[in-house]
Amino acid sequence: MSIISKDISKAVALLSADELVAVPTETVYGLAGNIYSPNAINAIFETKKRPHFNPLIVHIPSIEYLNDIADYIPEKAKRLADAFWPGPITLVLKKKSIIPDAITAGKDTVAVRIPNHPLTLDLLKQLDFPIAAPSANPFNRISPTTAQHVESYFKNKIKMVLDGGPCKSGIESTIIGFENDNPIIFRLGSTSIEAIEKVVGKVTIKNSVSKSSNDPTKNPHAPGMLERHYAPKTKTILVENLEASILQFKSDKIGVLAFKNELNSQYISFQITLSKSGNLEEATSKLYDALHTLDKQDLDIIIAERLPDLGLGKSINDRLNRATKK
Amino acid sequence: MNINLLSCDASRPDKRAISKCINEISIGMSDSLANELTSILLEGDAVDITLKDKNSGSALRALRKLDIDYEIME
Repeated sequence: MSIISKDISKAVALLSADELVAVPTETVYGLAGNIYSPNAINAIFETKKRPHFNPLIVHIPSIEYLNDIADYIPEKAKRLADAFWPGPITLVLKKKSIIPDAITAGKDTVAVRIPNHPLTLDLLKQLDFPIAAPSANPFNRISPTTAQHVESYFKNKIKMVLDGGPCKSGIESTIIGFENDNPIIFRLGSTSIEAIEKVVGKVTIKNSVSKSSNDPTKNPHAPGMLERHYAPKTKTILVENLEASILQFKSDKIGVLAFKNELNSQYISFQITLSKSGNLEEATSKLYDALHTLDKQDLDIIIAERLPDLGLGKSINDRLNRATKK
Repeated sequence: MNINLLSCDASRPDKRAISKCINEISIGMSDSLANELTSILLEGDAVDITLKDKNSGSALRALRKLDIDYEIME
């Protein structure tokens, strides 16, 4: 069994020995390994059962470290890094040749960010290498937001979960790449489009791909772009009108994921409300834990309510959309 | 750091190398105790050791090279 501990020195020793350690970030828990260790990177893909065409995000301790990773940093990327790091924005930049292809799925770009969690920042400062840290869950499954979620997924397949408590943001970082130095959002996430546009002006959104060839140029630019992702085992649908859908599935054992209004219905077996006050940040922080809880209830179907399509509501709807894809 | 050596998965374990490794990475170890722990490990039982604080990453890497599986203790 892996230990759940707050002891950074143990995590440093394990990562230095090419082992994997689950680490907390402000978004979700990551499955961390040394980016320069082929053994560790292979272990990440094997443990997650993640396809190799999907790139990994490199986590660094400070902006200064970016020069060791990226070959070219557009002006708007610098502005975003200054405004949001440490925090839930990932930048996709032209990589230095030292960055292994296994990290980038053969692309000439690398996804990089500084996580905003005190334990993991401290850990990164004590390591003499950056870490790759995709979400610490089997590929396509719901991302973990507590140490216990990680432990329930991987048991003894990893040596340690660094316990930083529940993740505050609750969904992954927003991923931004650049074409002709102009920002493009590859994955909606914990930083809203509105906040990003305040720093760099209008951005384009291109956050979905279908993987259909062995050509690395067709690989996703960033993690989380595949049509199906973040999915519970239980059949899940996303709807505008909860009441109508509940009646449609009334013969099933129904779980409901509501935004702010709790429903009174004899047909609901289990219900979670994301934010009774209608606060999108609170809803974001609770989303994955709610999906984990619903998925454990032995339901026939989870009916999730579509949130208002603004700010972080767009990111939550994006995750729910991908969770409902077959 | 306390660790539990669980098993050696090498097809032909090098008893002398394992004993030397255990002796070098552990606190309060002697040649004879390291030999004894190595025998216990190779017979299929787990053994606890305490790693020296410095270079515990190198110590864990040395165990991996010898195909010794371990778990970290609280």
